[in-house]
Amino acid sequence: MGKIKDKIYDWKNRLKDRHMLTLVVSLIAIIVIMGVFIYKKQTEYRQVMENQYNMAFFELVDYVQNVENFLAKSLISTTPEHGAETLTNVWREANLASSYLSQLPISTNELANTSKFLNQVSEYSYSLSRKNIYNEALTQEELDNLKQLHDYSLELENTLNQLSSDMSEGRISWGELTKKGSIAFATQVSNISQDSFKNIEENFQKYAGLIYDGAYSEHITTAEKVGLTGENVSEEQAKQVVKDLLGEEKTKNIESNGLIENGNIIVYDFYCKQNEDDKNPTHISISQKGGHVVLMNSNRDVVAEVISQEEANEKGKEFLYNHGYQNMKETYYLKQDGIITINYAYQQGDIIMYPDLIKLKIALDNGEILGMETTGYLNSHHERQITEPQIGIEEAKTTLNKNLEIMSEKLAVIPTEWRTEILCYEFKGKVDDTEFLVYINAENGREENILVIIDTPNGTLTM
Amino acid sequence: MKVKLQYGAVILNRVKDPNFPNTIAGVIYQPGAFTAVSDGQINQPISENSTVVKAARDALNGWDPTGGCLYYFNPNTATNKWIWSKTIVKTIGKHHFCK
Repeated sequence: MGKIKDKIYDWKNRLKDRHMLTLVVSLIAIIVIMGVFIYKKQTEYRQVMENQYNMAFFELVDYVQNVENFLAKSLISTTPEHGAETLTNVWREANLASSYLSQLPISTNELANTSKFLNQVSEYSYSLSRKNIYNEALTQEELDNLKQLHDYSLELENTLNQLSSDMSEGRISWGELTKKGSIAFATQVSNISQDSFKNIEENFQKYAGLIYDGAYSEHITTAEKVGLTGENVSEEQAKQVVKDLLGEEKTKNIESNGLIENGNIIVYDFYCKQNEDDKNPTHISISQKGGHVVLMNSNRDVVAEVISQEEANEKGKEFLYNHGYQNMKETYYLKQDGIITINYAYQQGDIIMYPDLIKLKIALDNGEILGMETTGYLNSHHERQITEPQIGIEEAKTTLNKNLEIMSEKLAVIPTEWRTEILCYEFKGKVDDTEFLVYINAENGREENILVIIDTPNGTLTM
Repeated sequence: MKVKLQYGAVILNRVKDPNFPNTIAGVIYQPGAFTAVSDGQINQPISENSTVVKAARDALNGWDPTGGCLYYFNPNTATNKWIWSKTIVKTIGKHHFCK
């Protein structure tokens, strides 16, 4: 000890000799002050984060409580009107719950099933509420589903309540939850809480997918792709499709990425280069089944726009025709940086089939086709049996708003969110200066959808 | 050219998936979801005619080169073992894409 003391005194005296002591002392003072300041700021920020996480968590608890509550009510509701109202509430509360859930700093994999549960409750109650609105009562099966959902929501609510009291009593803090490495004294606490979140998940392991017509239902995501027809092709045959599509020039150098088996569609994947050091290779995927183009894409700078939108429409249509897609009609387009993206829908007789959609990307300097996307077409294209509409066009018109000045009318098949299709009358019309598309169901006269047409210099959009 | 389209596609696939938030902002800013968000890289300004912007537009217009992937990771730096339990669909550049 004495030795160190001597050394410090010695050091101090030497500094004094050179008038350095004040300098060193003030430097140390500055560092200490800054340290305190930074520490304070940091605590402040951490507090802000903690508060935000707490808010998200407690909101989640509240909304899940409401979901449970409204689900319970929906089970005993007897009139469709009241049922619709209750289910609409479930839809809203579940939606908000899932949005707050996603703000928690818990890794995605631990909460995936909870999130799926909330999204499906939200979707399901929405689709049932629509049913109620049309004055249809719920079937026994649907009530059973609701009952099951209610049981799960009850379990979720209980677990969340437990967590919430842990949190209020200070047993858990978000800082510990988000910390990556486990520090000895924090481990025990964070084990409790991490396990609690895991427990939530385990309750949902049993929760199988509901069978219902919602966008998130399991059978929708695995639905058959009716447009994907034909026999399996070999990689060589797929390469030939690529050459036919892009021409000799662009396919001098084809680099194969092999067969991609786990995607939505089994495809052969290629990169095409014009020469060895081509900076803009074209990426193209050809389906193994039938050798259809699934996706083609390349990008380059387009400086001069010399081709009009109409010319581009025709070029695209010609391109599609030459590659076996007949009767395609342009519907919407979007122009960005000299590249136009045009949507083409299949036309069967006079009826537009909106689900059978192909998108093309065309360069407006030389009309080159830069991209192609056929998912919609492959998912749904087939020749449909169109039955005579139950409702005449004049009758459908009576449903329209009296102020709508009709500009055009035709029959169209539109997709619903749950991958079913509806035959509709499409009325394009104007109220004041705003253009609308109104879809009236040709079977029962219901107003299925209303779209606002937004004309921008860059294209026609609908919302 | 570095192709960036696949990252945008993953984000949009997540928006459509029930296991993830239902909005683009919700998916991007989900805590811990993307390292580029956690470390602040996301705030770097990019010029209007950058290839990144073109790729983002293609993704918004519906081009998905990943075949429906929800995750991607770098096999050399990934620390989370859980990610290996996912089905790898394809490899683009340094990243494995999986669902």
